[in-house]
Amino acid sequence: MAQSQPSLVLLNRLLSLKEPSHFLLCIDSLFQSSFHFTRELVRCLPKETPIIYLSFETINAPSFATDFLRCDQRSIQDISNNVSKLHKDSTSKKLVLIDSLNFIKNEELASFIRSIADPQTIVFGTYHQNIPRTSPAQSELKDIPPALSLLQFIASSIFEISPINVVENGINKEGTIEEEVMESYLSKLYLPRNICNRDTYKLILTNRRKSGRALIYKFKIDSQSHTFSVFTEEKDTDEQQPQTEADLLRSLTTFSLTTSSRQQQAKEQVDLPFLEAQSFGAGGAIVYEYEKDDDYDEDDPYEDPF
Amino acid sequence: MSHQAQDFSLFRSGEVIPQALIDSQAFRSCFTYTDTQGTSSSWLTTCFVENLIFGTCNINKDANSFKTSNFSLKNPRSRVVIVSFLHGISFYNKTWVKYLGVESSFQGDENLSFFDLSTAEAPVDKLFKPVIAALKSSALPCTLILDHPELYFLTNQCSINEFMSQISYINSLANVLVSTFADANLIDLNETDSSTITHRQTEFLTKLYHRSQGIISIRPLETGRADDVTGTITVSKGSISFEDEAKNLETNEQQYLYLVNKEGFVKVFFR
Repeated sequence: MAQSQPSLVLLNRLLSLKEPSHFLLCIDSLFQSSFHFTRELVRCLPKETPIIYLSFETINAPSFATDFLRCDQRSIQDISNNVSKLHKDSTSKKLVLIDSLNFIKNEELASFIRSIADPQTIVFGTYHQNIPRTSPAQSELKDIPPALSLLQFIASSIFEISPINVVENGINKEGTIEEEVMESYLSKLYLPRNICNRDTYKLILTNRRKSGRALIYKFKIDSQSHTFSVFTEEKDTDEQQPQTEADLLRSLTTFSLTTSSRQQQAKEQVDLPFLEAQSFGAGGAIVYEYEKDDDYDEDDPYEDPF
Repeated sequence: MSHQAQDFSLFRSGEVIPQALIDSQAFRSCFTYTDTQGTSSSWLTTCFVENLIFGTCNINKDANSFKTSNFSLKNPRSRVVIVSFLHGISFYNKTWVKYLGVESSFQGDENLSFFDLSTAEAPVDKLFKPVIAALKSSALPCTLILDHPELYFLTNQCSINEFMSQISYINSLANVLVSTFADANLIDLNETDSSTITHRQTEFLTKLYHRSQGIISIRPLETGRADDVTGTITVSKGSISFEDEAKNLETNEQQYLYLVNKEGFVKVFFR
């Protein structure tokens, strides 16, 4: 618990804009969107903080937004100019919320965020990682890095959100679903019920210090009760139990040496050939079936080795 | 012994489309329903139209359920505007005669208007002009059904962002239900060539999911074909939730099996 305390303090300080972070990047997915986490951020803000909401995809202006700007048909320059005019005289820090950074061209992303963010203006932007990216060949600049990489370079803190009930392959627990199964659903853009976009979710925080050191923490966020706790991996709870071969192999290498429950189930259903041979109790017996041309003499005691 | 009613609903309240959502002036919702070649969603479109106008749902009762409603086509719960990029009105007429009680020659009216954009070639910024005019001129609450809009941007020069921008605008005027294809060959999250159909449809679907309160996936049975089951319907939460004015509404996550029989009647069962 003593170990976990500083990470929770850091999270609370980041969400209340007390840390010197100018650009907070939130990476979400179709399985767990940033919707609930954004509301948690807003809840933690000091009361007088002006919130400028830049909407590229949001239809309904949230009640917490001091200003709501529809940006889907505006140029980046125009948005930037509008934001700089708002709350110019505010003495407190202001927050600029961007609902989706996916709608901004790669080559404009860095300059756009730089034009808005300053010590008094914190930018919190969400990037949806499941929206397919466009190859650099389609962009004007061919050598520009993908949007997500670029955003990760310039962000001072990164919040990565994922469903809490998706577990590593091989872990079977009621109410959870394996990563492998979720990936197969994702490839079909199929959202299973009671798994996606829950009130409770997992957050991985990467905080970059000025020294260059990056701190990574995992949290469990409950947006229903508004509580944050340190996330403990499922396997930690089973430490007391003897480790199986699969448990030992799981963290041994980066290769997947274990079998998932689905693979194990399929494996068990396969009938191996020569079942009869495997049923020998004594073991090591040699079964020889005589063929018609074999020369077998019943009187010879040394002919039959058995 | 009482049995739990195996009714199809989108909301926790047990309703398909609740009155609170229709009446809400400030809050606009978006629901996406995806289908595949083998599991067409046209029956669900008719079901939504019936529910929006009459408040009833034929798949939860019978074909005559609309006759028991206090609402009528002349006095509907919500006006319905259908914009179809796939079919003309004649495709729906036969089922509408059965489930909505309209004449077989019905070509749409003030409370149930139909825009056939299956051959539309207008630029994207002018595409929805008549639809926007219809939505703006309505004194009654309106709900818009977009029937496979991807067929426009897949056959015309138009970026997904431009198209989404138009959808955003019409969604700010009315609640929207969008039906779209989600066949496996149209989805590839790793495709980076934006000129391909796969990339465009995947981009559209993912962006649509991120602005939806609910996703309805209509898929064939994974285990293969069955005589008494056509497919599965999965209702799951979308990326955004209801808040502020509509905070009491919640998407009812549920999975159903459904059967479309020879007469076109649909029956759903809990899974």
